[in-house]
Amino acid sequence: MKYRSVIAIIGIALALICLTLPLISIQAQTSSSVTISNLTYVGINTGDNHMILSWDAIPNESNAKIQVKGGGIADTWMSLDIKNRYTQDGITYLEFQNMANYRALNRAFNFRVKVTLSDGSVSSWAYVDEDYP
Amino acid sequence: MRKHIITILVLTLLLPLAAVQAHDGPTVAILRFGDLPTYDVTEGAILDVLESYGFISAEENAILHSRQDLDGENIRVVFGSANFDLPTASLMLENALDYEPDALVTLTTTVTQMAINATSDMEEPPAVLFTSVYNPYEAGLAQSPCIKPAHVTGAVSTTPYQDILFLMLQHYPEIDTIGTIYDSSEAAGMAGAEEIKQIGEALGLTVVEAAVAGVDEVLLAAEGLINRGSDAFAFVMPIDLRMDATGLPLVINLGSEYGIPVFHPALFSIESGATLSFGFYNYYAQGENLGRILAAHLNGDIDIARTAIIEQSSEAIGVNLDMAADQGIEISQEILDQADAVIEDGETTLSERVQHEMRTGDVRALEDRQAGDAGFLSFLASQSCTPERIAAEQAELDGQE
Repeated sequence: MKYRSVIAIIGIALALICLTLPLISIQAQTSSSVTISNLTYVGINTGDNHMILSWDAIPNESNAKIQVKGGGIADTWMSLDIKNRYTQDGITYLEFQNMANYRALNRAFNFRVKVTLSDGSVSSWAYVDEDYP
Repeated sequence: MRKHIITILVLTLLLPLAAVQAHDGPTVAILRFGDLPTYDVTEGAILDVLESYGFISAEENAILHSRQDLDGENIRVVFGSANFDLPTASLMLENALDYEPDALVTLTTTVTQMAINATSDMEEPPAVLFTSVYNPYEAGLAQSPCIKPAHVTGAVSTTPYQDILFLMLQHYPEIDTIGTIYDSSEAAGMAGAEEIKQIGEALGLTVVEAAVAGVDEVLLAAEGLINRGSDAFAFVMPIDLRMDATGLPLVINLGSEYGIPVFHPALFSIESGATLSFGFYNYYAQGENLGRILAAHLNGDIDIARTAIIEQSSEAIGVNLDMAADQGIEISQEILDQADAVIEDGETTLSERVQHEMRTGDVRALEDRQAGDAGFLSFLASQSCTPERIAAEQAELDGQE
């Protein structure tokens, strides 16, 4: 009798593990999408003539990608070179060329940023507009 | 009598050469791998820019929009399309080079690759200006934006493989296995499939892939992947022009038979039957950008050797409700709210922003476009291939080896 109970408990435990495994796997898939919070247009570093964006630092950030459109010069998102990227007091700052130099119409530039972590996972795009005029 | 016949024959043979050489203005060849409505939009935008800059008149532009060659007052334009066939593409290129063009405007990775191969050994090659090109570095068109043949530049379109996989998992978290198929001779498709594999596996998915050597192998490959997959299986296809033209419909039909959704990274793939698409839609803007580079080149305002390859992207969601119904796939209201292209009961509905991008004949007066073009060209100049930038890119490439 006792032996049968032990087998039943093991059986139930195995069944529960089997049932929860797919859930764990789904959780792993969806939770791996990284989110950028508080993406902000900071302004222009007049010394280097760079524009600056910032966001809440994400643990293990290893790289970022930035694209721009608007300003009367482009309707497609165009990739920009990053001039500088650093983290200070829990905030990541990203510097890139001052797009205001190329503004053709009185329109703001739009930016979007994506972050790669050291484990290879990548965030979705986060969007922010230049503070203009 | 015999003398007259020989004279007539010689003259007949020389006539085409005379026609090729008689033109004073620049010659541009616009070449594409095959016919797609989206290429019409991109080419239309290039022509509209040429009209703004006075290379062609409005009447000539109307003729050119129907892809008829033009021997105009200020420019000669010749067209080529290869019906997605490599030997035809090779002939198309030879024919275009007979005109001794100042620029080859190439659409698609394959035609650009062939154009570079055909011109790289020339003493004074024409500029090769490309657009609608995916994965140029994997395809060997260039090594990086500035480490490239001096007569080549253009705009790369990025493919949002990661975004389409995010979208898929967000709405269909039960999917645990994806299958992808590519043509082993199409560089963009190969690179795309590899990217799908890397991203998919990082997201915890099982990725099964198959390479085919032609469209007749697609069906067998797709069935093989379905058999290797799980009950929660989907196809995620790369941008692969040879596959897209003829192979994709086969995968889609099979998907419908088995109730398997097909995800694709080109917005208008829903018109070929993809269930959900997430991809590029700025076809007019990409043509306009290349038109700006072309006009600047023809006017001698830009140095192609120093002009870096630029990267452009845009994304919109497409949904084929008819196909989803056939496959028994539920499309949430959330996806529909985000979608810019929806097919229902055989009718395609486009959002305003995508309709705007599929426009043609949007010719602006030169004074209306000069500020924007100058800003764009200044931006390009700021990205110029300086010795420092080339050295930095080379160092990065060396570091990857």
